[in-house]
Amino acid sequence: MAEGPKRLRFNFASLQKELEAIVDLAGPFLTAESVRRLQQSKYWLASLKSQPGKRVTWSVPSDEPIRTRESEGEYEAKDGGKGPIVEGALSFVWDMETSPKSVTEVELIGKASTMIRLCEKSGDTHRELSTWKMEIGIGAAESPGCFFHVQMPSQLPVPRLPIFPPTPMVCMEFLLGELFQRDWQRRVDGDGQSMTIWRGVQRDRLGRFFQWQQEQLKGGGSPLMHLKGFPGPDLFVGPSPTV
Amino acid sequence: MKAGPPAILVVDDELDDAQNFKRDVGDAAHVEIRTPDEVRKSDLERADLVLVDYELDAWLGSKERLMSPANGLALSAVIREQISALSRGTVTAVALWSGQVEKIASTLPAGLQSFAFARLNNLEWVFKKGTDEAAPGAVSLAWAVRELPRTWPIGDPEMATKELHKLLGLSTDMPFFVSAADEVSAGHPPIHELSAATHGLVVIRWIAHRILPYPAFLLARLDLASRLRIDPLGLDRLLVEKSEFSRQLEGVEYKGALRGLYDRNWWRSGLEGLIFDWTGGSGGLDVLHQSIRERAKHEVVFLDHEVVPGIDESYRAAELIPVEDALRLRLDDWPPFADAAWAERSLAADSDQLRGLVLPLDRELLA
Repeated sequence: MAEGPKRLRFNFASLQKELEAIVDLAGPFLTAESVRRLQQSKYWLASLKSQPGKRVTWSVPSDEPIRTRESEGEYEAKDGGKGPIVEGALSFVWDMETSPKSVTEVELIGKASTMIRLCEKSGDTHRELSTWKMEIGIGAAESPGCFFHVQMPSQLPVPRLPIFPPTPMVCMEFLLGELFQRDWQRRVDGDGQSMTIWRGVQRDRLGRFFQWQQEQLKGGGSPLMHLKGFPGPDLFVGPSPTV
Repeated sequence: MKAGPPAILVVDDELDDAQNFKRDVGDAAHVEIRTPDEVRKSDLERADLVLVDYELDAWLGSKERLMSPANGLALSAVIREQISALSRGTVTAVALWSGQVEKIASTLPAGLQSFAFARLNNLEWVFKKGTDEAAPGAVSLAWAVRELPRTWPIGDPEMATKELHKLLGLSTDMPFFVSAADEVSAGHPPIHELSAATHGLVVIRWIAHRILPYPAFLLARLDLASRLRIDPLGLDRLLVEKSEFSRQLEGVEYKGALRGLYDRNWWRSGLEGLIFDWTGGSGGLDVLHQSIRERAKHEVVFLDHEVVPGIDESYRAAELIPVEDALRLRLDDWPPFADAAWAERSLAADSDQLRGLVLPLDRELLA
């Protein structure tokens, strides 16, 4: 029997909670207009709850991305690194379908890509230093590569480097953790309500992902090739495994 | 809920102003006018709203003794207590009515005076005498009180939520009901023990003082213009034209309690639902603008940059400003569940009143 297309479902409330938490946690590291864009994205996601059984796009466009504040060498491990002043910009597109009747889940059915750009800021000029995409390989069953992957600019579609499941919010944390090594660590070492929510969502999701990875090691063939595979559409929905 | 139009009791020492008010109200409510000495228990029992004049210089009772209520604010407290003692399950709002609101609430920014002064003084509202807004505002407040259930549900959260939705005019057949209900809930409505203790009056205050003045689950004209990126005057023209655009926006307009206290408002989730429909679920700005043109049936000029409503020293949103020229402010009473308060950078920098309120994270942009 031919396999169906690779799709992935998310619990709708967990995405809402994740976004709500990151708006609060990331706020101090973002420009004012970016906090607003993130809020607007939150309202859009919330409005989908009234749109059961519909194809939707949830996005922050690349021409109006979520920008970080300037990192003045804070991407170095030690204080006051000497590199250029850098700002990050995050945009994303998720093509999804909401569950029928009442929106308790969304299913990724098309593009699921988050783009991050790092730019050097000097006065009013921006120079791109780096860019990458963190993606979920939704699509045809035979589509190649790691299901959760990162792509850098290349003449080829490879390499697709393996990564953790990259929701736009997780990608945001990854970016902030890179650009503000010490301060972001300090931020997430705290224990406020948003951090509790954030930790709960990530623990559940990563717990499911790592449990699936553990299962892959038990089969025959090459474990590494298994880990690139499609974990099935229900990885993040249904009863939670014990972590 | 009582039948018929609501009843407003005006307590004033000078009857000319009250007569003018009664004429402005017309048939929209039953208005009784009394001097402080004439007020009877039956007047208080009948009233949905008691409007008390602030200046009571012509009333000798205000000067009789040291402990006599010296002005309408003090008299309001006496009236509130009398109503409470009379209470037979009915609810009555008490509002101040004055020609000198700017003076008595002079420490508050102009845009907050009507509700912030009320909030600070155990009143539902403060109306300005001689303004066009006083009569429709008072009628709206009286109607809201009349629409309260005879007894607010106690220990029944589901029923209390239904009563709240009823007051807000939010019904399950609205296509955006589910998301709107979530957003309403995020605004911390005081619908449980506080409402039970006040027969729902605290919910009226929540709508009047915390919801309608701020961008939360309801959006005012400038918030709407900002979301659609249309110049506010252009939006005004679009809204008065007969078109698919104005008709559909009317479908998501707020029509619940106290709608006469403020200018028009729209449900945020209703607007997002329209944008969803208009853009085929993509939310893309170009598609949105094209679909608005099609629904307006003529060319529409859109703003080519991102904008936010900016407040001025009155603390009310006065204009749209480019987001890159905007700073966030932390204002005393701004609800945490509402969108941020923004002010234009140079306005904030030049204003002694606003400069110190800029969010610490945005202060570097003041220079």
